[in-house]
Amino acid sequence: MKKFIYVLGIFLLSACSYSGGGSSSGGSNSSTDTLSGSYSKIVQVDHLIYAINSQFLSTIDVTNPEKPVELSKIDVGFDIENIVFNAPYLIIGSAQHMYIYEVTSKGIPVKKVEQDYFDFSDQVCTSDPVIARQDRAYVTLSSLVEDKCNRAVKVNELRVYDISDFDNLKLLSTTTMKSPKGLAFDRQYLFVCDQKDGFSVFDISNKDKPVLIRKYESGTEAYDVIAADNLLTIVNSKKIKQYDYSDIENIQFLSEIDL
Amino acid sequence: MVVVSVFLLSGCLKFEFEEEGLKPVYLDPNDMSVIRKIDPIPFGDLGLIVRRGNLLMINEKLRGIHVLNNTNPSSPVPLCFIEIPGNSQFSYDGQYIYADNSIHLIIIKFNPQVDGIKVVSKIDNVYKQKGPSQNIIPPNDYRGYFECYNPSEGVFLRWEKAMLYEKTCKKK
Repeated sequence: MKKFIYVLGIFLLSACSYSGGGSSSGGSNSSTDTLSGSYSKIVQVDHLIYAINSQFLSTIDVTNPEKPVELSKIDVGFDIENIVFNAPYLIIGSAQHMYIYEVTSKGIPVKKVEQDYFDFSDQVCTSDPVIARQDRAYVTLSSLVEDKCNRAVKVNELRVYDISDFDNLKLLSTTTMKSPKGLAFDRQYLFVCDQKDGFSVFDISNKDKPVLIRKYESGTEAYDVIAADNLLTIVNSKKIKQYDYSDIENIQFLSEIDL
Repeated sequence: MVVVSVFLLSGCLKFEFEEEGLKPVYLDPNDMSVIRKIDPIPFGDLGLIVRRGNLLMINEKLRGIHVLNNTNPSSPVPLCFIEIPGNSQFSYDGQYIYADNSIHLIIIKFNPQVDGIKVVSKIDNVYKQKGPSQNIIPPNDYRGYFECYNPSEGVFLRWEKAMLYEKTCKKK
């Protein structure tokens, strides 16, 4: 009996921290979820908030929002770009690394992987996000625009990683782009913003190798994206544009908001 | 005679240097009274985007969050602006906004159908970084004098034009 209760307890706890975590670009795509652009540094998983600044990851219990409790604070690294939840993992993108943390039954993240993007990481200085679904992570790296470091090596590409084996993350493919930024997926489609070149729509039916379907708004600035319910929301620093992608071959412009 | 020369002397000293330049505007991160809901404002420098149900929310860098009704995505309607000085990151779960004000994480009760908003709590220093703060200087295209940024005065928000009476910092 005791054992049964113990098992049940574990089940409830894990259900608690792993279920319904569709609160980011990497999560599920329902109209009742919170959908964030890929540059989000805050993610909510049930009653827990994971907030990251350029360096620290805080876990905050907001069961009672009037009395939140900070459960842990972890020193992750530096130049952190974003965080997404890919149950039961938190995937963190930084300028030079991808980090994977496992969310324990109590909700506190434990580091599993620190993956270098470059062999000679001091050579390159990029700044871009990662999104993930099941055993694949999609990363954009770009150093064309805002190259704060002014270094010789330029990298502007979309990468796909196999993240199923933490001891050996595998780079599966790279796709060269102009200056890729925010990204999002829905079903078998991957949408990637290009800061200098609109946005690209890829087919990821083969999840290892994105196949370009079509490019849109070439020459315009696109920085981040949300894709769900056939509604695409693309933003740059000045305006929001929306599109209907129910016909993926022929995405329809809906609105441009520029207050 | 003495009065006149003192006047001249001080006048002289006072205006030894006078030039228009930039000075930092600081934020007191512990003042929650600056967080409020106002009518929609124009877009300036946009940041993080969030969609929840029929709401579209987007960060205005270091100022707060624009909220729009996106029931008809062909024609979204601005609803309000939530002023949160220092803000760049946020999430919304349908009841509460979780937002940073540069240093702290603030929890704000927000219902677009209801007037006003309420700050219900804050978690101190979630966004505070260790080590020396970054060197804050005016934007790339600026040339001339500016008042040096002094971290002990608060959190940096933005630069504003001001008359400077001391040669403190200069960008060439």
